[in-house]
Amino acid sequence: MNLLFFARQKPVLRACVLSALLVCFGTVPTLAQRVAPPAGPPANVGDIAFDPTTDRSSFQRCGEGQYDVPQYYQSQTAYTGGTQALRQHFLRAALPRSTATQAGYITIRFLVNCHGETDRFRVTQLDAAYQPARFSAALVAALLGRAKGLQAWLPGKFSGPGAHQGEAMDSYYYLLFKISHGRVVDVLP
Amino acid sequence: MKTLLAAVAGLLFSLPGHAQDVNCALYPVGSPCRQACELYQSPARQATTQGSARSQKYFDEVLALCPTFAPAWREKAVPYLKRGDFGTWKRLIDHAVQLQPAQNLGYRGWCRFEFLHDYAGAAADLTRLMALTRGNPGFSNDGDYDLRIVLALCKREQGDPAGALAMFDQCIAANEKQQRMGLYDYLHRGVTRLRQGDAAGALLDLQRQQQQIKQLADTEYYLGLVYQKQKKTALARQRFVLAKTLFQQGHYRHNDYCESLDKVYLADIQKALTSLK
Repeated sequence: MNLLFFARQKPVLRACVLSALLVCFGTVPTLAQRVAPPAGPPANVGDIAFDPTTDRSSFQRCGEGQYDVPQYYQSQTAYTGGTQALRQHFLRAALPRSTATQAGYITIRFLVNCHGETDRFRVTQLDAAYQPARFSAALVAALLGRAKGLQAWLPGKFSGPGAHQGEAMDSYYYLLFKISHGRVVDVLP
Repeated sequence: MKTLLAAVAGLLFSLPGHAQDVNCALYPVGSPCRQACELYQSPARQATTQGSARSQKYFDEVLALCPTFAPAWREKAVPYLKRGDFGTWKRLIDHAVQLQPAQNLGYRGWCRFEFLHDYAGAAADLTRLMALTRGNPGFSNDGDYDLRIVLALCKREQGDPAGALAMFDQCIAANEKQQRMGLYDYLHRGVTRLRQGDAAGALLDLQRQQQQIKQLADTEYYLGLVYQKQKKTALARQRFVLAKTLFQQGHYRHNDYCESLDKVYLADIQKALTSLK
């Protein structure tokens, strides 16, 4: 949550939010026992629905049905050692090369649950003009494999006030690979 | 109750960012664009959670009324940027830039720099904005950077250190004159000078940066590198030790969205300390 923004809000809105949060946090333990509802249309841009053809059925969201999954920057989701460690993980060993003239971006977006486990990986590929592209399948597969192999996620945390402050939660994260001359030259965010 | 929880959690985690303020009086009373503007500015629209289906639907409604209403294109694009869907973001933000280049080129350029390290794309946007604004492109969306500093960094990352330093010098001289230095202007020029082997110039900049922000691990780390280059080992160690202390106290540059350029990690400081032994 953007606390600065929250602090700037009108007192009435603040009071409403705080009251609602009390209701919310007081009720979470009860709702945690409920079964997840069937997937409907996405409630938010970027929501990733379960796909039985690609996703592990054993992967569990901790807050299924309890809260909208926040993005990494809203919940301070991180990888141990930060982007520097991610960069080392992906670039330590040689990666397959795409066509030498290719430039652009490969994005891998996924869920990090409250235990730091990951799944629901989705890949998008863009050229340098931000148009859909297709890099070499070997490169994409290698990046996806290494992304799935990351084992040191620090899950997001409830940052708002209340009894759940600091508790681990599910969140979305993405990895962005910048490609130049067919090679991965940078890893973000 | 579940709906309430989802709504509250959505509010908790995605309070809307501050959208562009728009003066609806610019549009004729009763015109579709006036209606679009008033819908965009309405408390109901502003209360929606950024990236929620309802919020996006508001922008669709605004754009259905007035397809040339650039702020809605821009705000509709934001959640795609923050969620790593850069293709959709670019398609949407391009509309805003096309409609209001002077108001949106700086933002698009900044995002390309910050989120994608698209230095060529960012430089193109900022150079075009420089021409439109007679050399005064304004500031980054987060307010931390004069966009000329961003353009200088783009040049540096594209392998043009001379062009970068010329842009740094021009911007810093202008800002010194107006006493409105950016938070990290000296730091970035200092790092650039250090990379170019100009230890004396880097030292001056980093000492200025110390005055700008009194306690910053990043500054002390780079000062340590300068002293190390000058073979002043005791001074270098002093700076690295201070950098480590400041870092552990949380006094370092951090960006919630992505890694900042010239960012320093604790591992860098520890490695530098080890290299002195």
